[in-house]
Amino acid sequence: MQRGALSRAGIVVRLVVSATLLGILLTAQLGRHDDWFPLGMLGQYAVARDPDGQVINTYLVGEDSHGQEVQIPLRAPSAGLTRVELEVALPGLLEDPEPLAAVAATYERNHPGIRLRALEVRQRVDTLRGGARVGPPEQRVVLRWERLP
Amino acid sequence: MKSVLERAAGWWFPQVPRARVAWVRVLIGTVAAVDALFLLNAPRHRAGTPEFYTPVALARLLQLPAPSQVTAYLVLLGILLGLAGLVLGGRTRTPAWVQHAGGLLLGVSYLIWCLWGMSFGYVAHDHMAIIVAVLLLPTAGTSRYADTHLPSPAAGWALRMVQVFAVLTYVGSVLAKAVLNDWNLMRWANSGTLVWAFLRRPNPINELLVEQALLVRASQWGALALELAAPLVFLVRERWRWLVVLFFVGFHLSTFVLLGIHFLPTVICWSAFLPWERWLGSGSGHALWKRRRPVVQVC
Repeated sequence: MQRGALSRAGIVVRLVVSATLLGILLTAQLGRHDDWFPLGMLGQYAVARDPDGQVINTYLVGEDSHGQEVQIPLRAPSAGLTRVELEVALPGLLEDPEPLAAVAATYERNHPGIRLRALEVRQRVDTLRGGARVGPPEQRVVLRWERLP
Repeated sequence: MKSVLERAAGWWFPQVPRARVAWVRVLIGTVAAVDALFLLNAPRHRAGTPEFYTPVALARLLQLPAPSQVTAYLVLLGILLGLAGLVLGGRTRTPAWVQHAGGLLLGVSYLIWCLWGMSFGYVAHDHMAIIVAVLLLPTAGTSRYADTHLPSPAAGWALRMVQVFAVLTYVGSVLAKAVLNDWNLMRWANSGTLVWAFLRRPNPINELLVEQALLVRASQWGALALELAAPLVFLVRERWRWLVVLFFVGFHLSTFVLLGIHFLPTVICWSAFLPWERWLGSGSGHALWKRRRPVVQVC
């Protein structure tokens, strides 16, 4: 059996690539660079949540042309964005909810026959004590977007 | 007696049969295609909401525009064609350029797809090793299913990088926990993070646990220990590594049942630890059903 070999240049290039990728990954962790994908901060579920705090679940409810409530699943194939993405965008939406028009349009396109005249961002809030859930959740409306007539 | 430097070089550039690369890249490419079609399928569905496009650093560097229906389907086609090139290119009779073009097409297309997938405000961390894999496995050079007796340090390095970044997904997440919690890992282990995750992704099984504080806290300590222990796989002899791989697959199965998080792109990268060429043979038949031929001990 003949064992393969690498040229000196081949070895150097591979070592440089190895060191560069490892260096970027380490820097991303220490510098908290979440958006250095694919070598960004490995921070999913890494933040310690207060065992005596609150757990917030954001969701989206639509209102159709008959005034009926429609649950809008926060998944890309349905609404064009996910729950986490809505939560990330929430501070901006509180200032200007107009981007929700694109969500309504995407939902309508994916669900023919439904016409939305309003969207509400709501939250379900659970309370924790000692790392366990206590009591029933609280519901609250965070913002409302209405289609211009 | 070998110097430390020679040992380190030997570890970083192990002699591994090229056939292993031929199999691993097909396995990983298949998961990349499944991911793009069914899991991280968002780029196809986001053509209507470019308002939410917030490109990650590399996407900004490449000036990657938001996906449209047309570009998303073109990139998806690139992933599928690339995979086809790798599957067919592993056969000895197929011209070598087929697998080289396939590897390049898959690597670039899947990178773009994932950059889109992570550029709408949420960046997952289960794609690190698979991106490294699709970009670096083509550097192994022409690799065929039949190359079971053709060891190569280029193949060894590419697979080692996949192994290292698969393991770093776990160790790096411990470092991230330390950084995000003022270097106090105990704070994370004793926190309400898991019950928080359960309540945000409720299902009938985790509903049974959200009021069991001690059990949930013990699970957090267990998860932390497991993440720290991941590098021990490098100390396990190759013939027993499937047990370690099975153990981590079991861990991810439990997170899938409890949280609906599959981590499949990372899970498949554990395949880089396994001697597929011994189990699957040269691709001309089914080695598992044939009498085993003597094989070369490498790595």
